[in-house]
Amino acid sequence: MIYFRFVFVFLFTTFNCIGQRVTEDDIKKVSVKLNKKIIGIEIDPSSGIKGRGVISFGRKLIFQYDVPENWYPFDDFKQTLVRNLIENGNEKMYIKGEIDVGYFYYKKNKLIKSLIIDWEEFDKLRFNLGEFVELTNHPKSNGLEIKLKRPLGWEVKEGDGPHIVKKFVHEQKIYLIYVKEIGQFFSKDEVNSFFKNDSDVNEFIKGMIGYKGDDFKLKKHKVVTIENHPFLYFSDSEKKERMGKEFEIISHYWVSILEDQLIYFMGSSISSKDYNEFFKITNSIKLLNQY
Amino acid sequence: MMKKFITILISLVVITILIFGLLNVLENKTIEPVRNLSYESNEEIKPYIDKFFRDLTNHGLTPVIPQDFIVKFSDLESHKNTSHTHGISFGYKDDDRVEIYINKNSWNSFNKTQKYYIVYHELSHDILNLDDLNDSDENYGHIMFPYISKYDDLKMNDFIKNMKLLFDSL
Repeated sequence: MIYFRFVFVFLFTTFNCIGQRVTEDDIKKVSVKLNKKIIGIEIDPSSGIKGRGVISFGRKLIFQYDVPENWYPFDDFKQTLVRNLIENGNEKMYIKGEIDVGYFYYKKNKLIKSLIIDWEEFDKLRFNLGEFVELTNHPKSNGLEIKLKRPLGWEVKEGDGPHIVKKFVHEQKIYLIYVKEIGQFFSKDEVNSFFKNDSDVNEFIKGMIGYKGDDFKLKKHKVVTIENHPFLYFSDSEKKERMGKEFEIISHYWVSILEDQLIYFMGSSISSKDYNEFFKITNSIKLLNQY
Repeated sequence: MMKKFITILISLVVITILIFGLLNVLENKTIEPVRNLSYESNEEIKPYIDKFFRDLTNHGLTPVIPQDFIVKFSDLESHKNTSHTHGISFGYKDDDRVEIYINKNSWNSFNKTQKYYIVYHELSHDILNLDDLNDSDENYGHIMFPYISKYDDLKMNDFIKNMKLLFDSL
């Protein structure tokens, strides 16, 4: 595992230094360097896998290993490998360099398992949901029984504000869970009827995002169901400036009143293309007191 | 005639005193062991109590809260008179006293909804002087239904609707 880390650091540094699109010649040079470092090295002492060498074919970088007699690949070998690479953030260099990666496994000099992961395949698989993050007993959840899945490779952080329960962070994307007590219980029917009134919804959203002006126009909102409970979806954009460079932050909110708590899930980024990722995280939410 | 009337009157007074005395003895026979089996449970129950009073206020109900206010867990199962009781209140019809004991084992086995139900149920006895409803299908889901253990499939939404139904009716 430690050696794997070294290999990835080496690769990452090398390809990052090149800067421009990595050429086939660059990949070949890297494979030669890696080959020298990997041969005979015990990659995983627990399973006895040893490095056999690294070669390149065109834009493919292939890692070869010798495995012991009692080694067999497990059923979902490729998925596990891809998940691990994404989880550790190592897929980035393959996507950035547009490099396919291969893993060949030999037993007594006979190839017993091979797999190639296309860099575009990495890009497609890049957004995958991982395990559930349980929020039910979190002190900031105020007794709400919630869990949701975090995306693989995204960092899970504690919320820094008084009502932010958790944050999932990845590059310039952030997804957070907010819970705040509002001082009275609301039934599901009351929430539904509240969300049917556009004027109430307008005021509610203005209050939520802290809009102070009178010219607020609610652009787009709709009532959606998450786990049997009505939620209000809306998006919002805000222009920002940093070091003279202007950019726009786009935020997507799924907000509701659950029991006596205001709860929202918010995904923010500087790209309008990230909605699907935020949607998938929100779609994984389990409200455990609904069924 | 007058003598007969006085005799009947005195008899009635004596009988009433005897009945109240007997009830008092019976209550003391129960209350003392329950008190002895109780222990501090403020941290766990307090948030539910606070919400009960908050919800009363939200419904415009502002009963006087007596100084003598006890809500505790007690090992009710260890005492023969309360072994099948989830919660017991001793302040019903006594505006100077709230004294509630909740069975710790029941509490541990209850889901969140049932915990709200039991606290609101017992406090409704002592604070609002409300009596139990009959064990009938039409009362199922109501706060004053006497068998909270039957509420294991109810959700918070059921509790909220029934809490509002009760407080709105007062």
